[in-house]
Amino acid sequence: MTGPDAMPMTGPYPPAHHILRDLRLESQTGPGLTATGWIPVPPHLIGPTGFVHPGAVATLVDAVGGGLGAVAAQPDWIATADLTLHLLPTRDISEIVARGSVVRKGTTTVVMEVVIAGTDGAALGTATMTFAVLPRRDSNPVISTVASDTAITPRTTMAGPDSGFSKSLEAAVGVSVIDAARGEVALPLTDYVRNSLGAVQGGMVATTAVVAAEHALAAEVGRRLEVVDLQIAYLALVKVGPAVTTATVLESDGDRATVEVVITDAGADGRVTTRVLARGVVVAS
Amino acid sequence: MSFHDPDNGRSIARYMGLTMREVGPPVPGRAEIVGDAPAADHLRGPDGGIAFGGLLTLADSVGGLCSGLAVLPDWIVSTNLMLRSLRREVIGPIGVAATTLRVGSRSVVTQVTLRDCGADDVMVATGTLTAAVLQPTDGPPVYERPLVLASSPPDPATTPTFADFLDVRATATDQLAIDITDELRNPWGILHGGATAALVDLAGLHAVTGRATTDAVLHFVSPGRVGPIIATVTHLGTRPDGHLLRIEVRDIGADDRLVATAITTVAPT
Repeated sequence: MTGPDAMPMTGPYPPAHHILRDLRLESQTGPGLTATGWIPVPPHLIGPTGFVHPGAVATLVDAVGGGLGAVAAQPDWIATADLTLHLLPTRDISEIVARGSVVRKGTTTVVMEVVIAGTDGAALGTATMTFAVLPRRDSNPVISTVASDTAITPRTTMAGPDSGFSKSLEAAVGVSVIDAARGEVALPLTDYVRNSLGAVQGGMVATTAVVAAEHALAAEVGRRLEVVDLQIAYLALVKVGPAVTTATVLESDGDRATVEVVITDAGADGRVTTRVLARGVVVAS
Repeated sequence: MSFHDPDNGRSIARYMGLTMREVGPPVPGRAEIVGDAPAADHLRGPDGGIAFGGLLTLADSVGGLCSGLAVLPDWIVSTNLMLRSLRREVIGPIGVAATTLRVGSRSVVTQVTLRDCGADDVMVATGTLTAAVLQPTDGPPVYERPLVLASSPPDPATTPTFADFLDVRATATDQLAIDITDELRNPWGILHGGATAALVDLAGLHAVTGRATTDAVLHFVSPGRVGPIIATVTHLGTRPDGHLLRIEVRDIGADDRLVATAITTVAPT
């Protein structure tokens, strides 16, 4: 991939140094309210047991789904209500493709499914997203793509000449661990992780939840569990930051466990912004 | 059917033996509901655990009522239910608690938690219900507040299993079908979300060899009005905690319209 044909994406968002650019995200809108996104999987996106960081996958899903949702809701605007991710843990993936399609486009909600695979065809999982349709405000970004049964936009890339990771995803976005055993981590709101509204981007919220879940689960069972499921309810934007997590392990049998992660906006009087249920499993090496 | 008779569309709640009570005085913009239902034999699966479809039905019923009360004089329709099972062994009764997390002008998000009241209130399942806010043409339901909707415990001698209550029939190795009887309609007159959820659970267990459904993400896309309703299962893959399935529910009598989609995990035997 990373098509030599992909056209550079220009515009005020995202800024030159941004997670979506370092992910080298490419995207294309297809006919009939569909869209596809691609990211390569460099070593810095691979965890210690060989699997792609679920936060990177969630960010790809959020970008593809969000873009498509905005097209579907025109002339109105959208707010992400929830995102679910179910992964099939697979090693040795060099590139991920996410294919999104609109399942429902109504006056109040847009529902989307995203199929996740390796570009070699390996099934990596599936995701769903729900968007609340909101009246457009002047501050909402303008979407130039028009929903059509036939139109296919050119494949564009977020990557610039210097884009890419020189350190792990978690180090790049600035997630810090406050208390590993309690699953308390923090993500500062920087330009690198902002969305088009200036708040923490949805995929970065998911990434923060994954980091919190992994630490809490490891502390609970005494070994690493791979996060394979996320159920994320977005309740409010993280507008000030940092996004701070608390985690509660709800059940565990040693090989599998479920943890609830609650994310608050510490700079906004600790407002609860997100509720996440994450599932971790032991995957044989 | 209409909302003016609060007893309309409550067959599913009666089947579950579900009683629901509003907590505290009415407060615009938020709500809290508690419910309880017996962990009856007709709700149990082959391994003795409560069928996940039953838990989904309880979550949809209590979460939906909570969401609706929070937006009165508007009302709601469920759009998305996410639920994860945490414990299979349940003594009962099952306590259900729903509280609004976010109430907006267009949608409501409600957290739903189910506990085993017979085992120190240990958590059995938890999740969230998202609902879209609508203005019913005939007005919202008329309730005395604080609201209590009581159901009698089902008679174990005469109450059928969930599969028999829904009158499920297999139409292929990866398909189950039901008809939309009056018993399975909600107060809007459409297929009850709990019936859709239970069908999804049963369809997954019909299509693959597994012990029980352990989690589900349901998107209610459009109303089931005519029937028959067919649930078709696609196996997405297998991982250590079970089979990952995608289930599509369609209203065959309404031009094959998509009613719901679901992603579920079925634990291995």
